[in-house]
Amino acid sequence: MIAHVGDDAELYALGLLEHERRAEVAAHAASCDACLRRLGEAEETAAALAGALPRREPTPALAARFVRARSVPPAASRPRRLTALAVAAAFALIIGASVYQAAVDRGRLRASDLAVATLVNSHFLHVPMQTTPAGGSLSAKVLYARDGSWIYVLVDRASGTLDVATRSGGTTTARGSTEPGGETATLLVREAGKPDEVDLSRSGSIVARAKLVY
Amino acid sequence: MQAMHRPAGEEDDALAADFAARSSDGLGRTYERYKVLLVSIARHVLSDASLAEDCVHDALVRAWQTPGSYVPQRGSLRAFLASCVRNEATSRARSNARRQERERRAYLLEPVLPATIEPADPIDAARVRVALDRLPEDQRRTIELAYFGNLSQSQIAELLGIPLGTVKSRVALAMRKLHAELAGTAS
Repeated sequence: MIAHVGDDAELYALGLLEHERRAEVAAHAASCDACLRRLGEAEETAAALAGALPRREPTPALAARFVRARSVPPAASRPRRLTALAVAAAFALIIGASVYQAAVDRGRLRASDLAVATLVNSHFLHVPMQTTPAGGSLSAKVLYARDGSWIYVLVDRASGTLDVATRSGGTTTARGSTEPGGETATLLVREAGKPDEVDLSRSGSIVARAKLVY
Repeated sequence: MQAMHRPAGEEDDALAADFAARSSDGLGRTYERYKVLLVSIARHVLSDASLAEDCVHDALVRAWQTPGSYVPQRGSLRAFLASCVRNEATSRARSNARRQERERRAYLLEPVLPATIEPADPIDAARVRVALDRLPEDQRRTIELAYFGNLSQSQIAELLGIPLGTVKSRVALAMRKLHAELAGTAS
């Protein structure tokens, strides 16, 4: 617990604090009525300043993303980041193939679980994706079957939907877009056909790529 | 909560309650209600339409999914979300030093609030211009550099040739004066 937030309330509202201090201020305000009030007043002022910014309209695609996000339940403790893989491994060990298949048949598994289960029931390799300058802080990796039957792309800190393409020889094939799932976005590509390379792009610009070796 | 800058209507109040309760359709309705303001904030900081939309999406979803992130006692949902998006956008912008430097140069070459732009919220924009003009010159300049110029505290200190602590206290003082001014002119 920190002391009262003081002038940091106004700095917070203007986006001037570093991440760590910002978290401290938010945590303190959550349990201090006086600081919560001061923070709220600063945020009202900052929101008024925002009204003077140039007006920007969102694209229709953003509304569609919120419709999809609405279907993701707001759980308090969903798996975070690439630790989903550890969950996947435990998942496979615990339930086994027959139980898994029965669960699929009963419709109790979501698509992401299906991808995870497919992954852990095969021999696979994995390689981190090399981020391009356009990728910023994005972190991604590719898991793929030795026999070319599937590839699974996981993106950490995904910041939205990304397009996945594979290259085989000189041919590029679009494979679809990652599906957000909290802080990790994923895409399972079946019958991938042993591609040489996987590219991840946003708005036509490649943000990460990986070479696959079998 | 003292007098709000911008009186909330029944729709705002209902949305705030739904958002706080994380109702199933609260996220989409909240986005529709505040999308222009939030996208305008992110776009101003990130200077890229695609990055801005990613930022708005991620900030809203995170706020909605995190229990207790918003409580009505804090103030309006609109101001809370504007703060979330602003902070998310500045975090992302800081990770790209080249973009930050480009924006800094662009700011120094261009007027802070060009009169010809269409503002995100015309009502607030008019009141903000009046309130900013009533601030002492040093405070007005500091706020403009911080909010409209997207400069960090250290960049402002360097540009104005003042200590970091002075930037901090000047920003806080100016914001409190703006709050009083805007609260007094709320319609």
